Amino acid sequence: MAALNIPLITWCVIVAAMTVLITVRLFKNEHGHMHPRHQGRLIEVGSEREEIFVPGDSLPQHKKRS
Amino acid sequence: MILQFLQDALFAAIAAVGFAAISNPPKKAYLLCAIIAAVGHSARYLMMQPDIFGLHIVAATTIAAFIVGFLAVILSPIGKMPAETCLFPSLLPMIPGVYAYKAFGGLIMCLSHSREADFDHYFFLFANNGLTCLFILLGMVVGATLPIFFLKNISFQATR
Amino acid sequence: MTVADEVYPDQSPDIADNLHDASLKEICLFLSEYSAWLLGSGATSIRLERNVRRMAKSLDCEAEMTILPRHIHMTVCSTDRSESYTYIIATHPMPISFDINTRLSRLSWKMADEGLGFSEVRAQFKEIIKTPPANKYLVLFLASCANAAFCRLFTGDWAAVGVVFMSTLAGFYLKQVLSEKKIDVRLIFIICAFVSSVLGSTASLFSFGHTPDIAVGTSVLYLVPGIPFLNSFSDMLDGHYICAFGRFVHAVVLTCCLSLGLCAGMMMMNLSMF
Repeated sequence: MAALNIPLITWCVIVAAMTVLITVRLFKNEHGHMHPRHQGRLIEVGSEREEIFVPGDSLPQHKKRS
Repeated sequence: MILQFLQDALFAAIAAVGFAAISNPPKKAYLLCAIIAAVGHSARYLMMQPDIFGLHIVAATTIAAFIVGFLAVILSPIGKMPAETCLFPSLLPMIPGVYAYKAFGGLIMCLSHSREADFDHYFFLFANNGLTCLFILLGMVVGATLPIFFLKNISFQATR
Repeated sequence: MTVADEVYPDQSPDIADNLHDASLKEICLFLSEYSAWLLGSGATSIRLERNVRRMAKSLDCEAEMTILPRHIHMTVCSTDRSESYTYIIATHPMPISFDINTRLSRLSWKMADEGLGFSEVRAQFKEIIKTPPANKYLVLFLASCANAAFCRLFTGDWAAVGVVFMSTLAGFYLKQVLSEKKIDVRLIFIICAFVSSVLGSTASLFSFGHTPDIAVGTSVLYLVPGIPFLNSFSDMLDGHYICAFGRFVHAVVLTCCLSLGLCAGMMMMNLSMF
């Protein structure tokens, strides 16, 4: 039984990730932007308001109401 | 030998066009960059051959950059471009990228070895690659800027 | 006292204004905007200074500026120094574009030589800054070819050339995708260097070709910030030391990130750099 082959695993992960990325991008381009922004995303970079939130800051919905 | 020389020129030209494309040059500049870079890089290749001139890489790069700068200043008025537009992309194939990242690689290895002999070895690699990289860059820019100053009238009025 | 003042000592300011229908404030704001774009597009400090002075001269005023790594501090004053206007503008963050650089330089000469009016110049400037970057798939292909050619220059064999072409294609595509998402450029460099070096070591992983080490070494070279390095040394020769230092540090930081990604990639692939 061969030992865990880290280089091979890394290589496969990277290749798989790149393939997925390219396929997804091609698919997206064909169908245009069907989903509105922020929908169905697992990981995203937060807005400035979310990142540097200090208690007492007005929340986004407060701003909408005013 | 001649074949290797021509091969060097050809691949330098391809490299120059590709790397120039990253910095969005005007369309006319692609051809000029390819020609200038081919001449410059193959001149350096020739100068570094031990059985011809056998120059050190820093000296060879400086002289090659001088040739590149001279050609760029003379040829850039054709496309009505400032000299840098042709000059910098044509210099890109000579950028000491390998030295640059090897210097940082040496630094990282340096930190991960605490035994004096190992540390010295990697520090030597860091300093050696880093200094070579710095001086190549300096020589390259000095060599390439000299023609611009000598031929000031042409170079700053090229876009006229 | 300039020559013009001695010849026409009584020239009133409103006559001078009629020569170019623009106030000092408008000129200063326009020149600041112009220099922010020119510096952002990757021009050297000496070119920026010359272009701006040339334009100011053709508008009958004088311009002086301080060029800082991320800002330009611009003062425009009338030739007799009776009034002046100062503005500080942040340089425009954009990818290096020699196309815009060239066309902005050409615009400054048009103004000086052909006597193009201020409003006309401003209209042309607005057109120029709208110039779209080159087709990204073309750039992707050319950059990959360039890196593959580079591998050949470093005496790699054809197997290595093929591997480098593929790894650059993947890495550069990733760079374009991540740049579109406005991710920090340093993070992009680390990620792309990692991906490219892992893909670049394909040859050594499956042991084909005779120069697998060259393939790994050249697979990340498309990331080396060549233009910032050149600009930095060029500024240094012109005596713009602060700007030169700023650009140098920027280039070094990017190279550092590149090395970090490369070292991580090589470590995962059980390779050593030296």
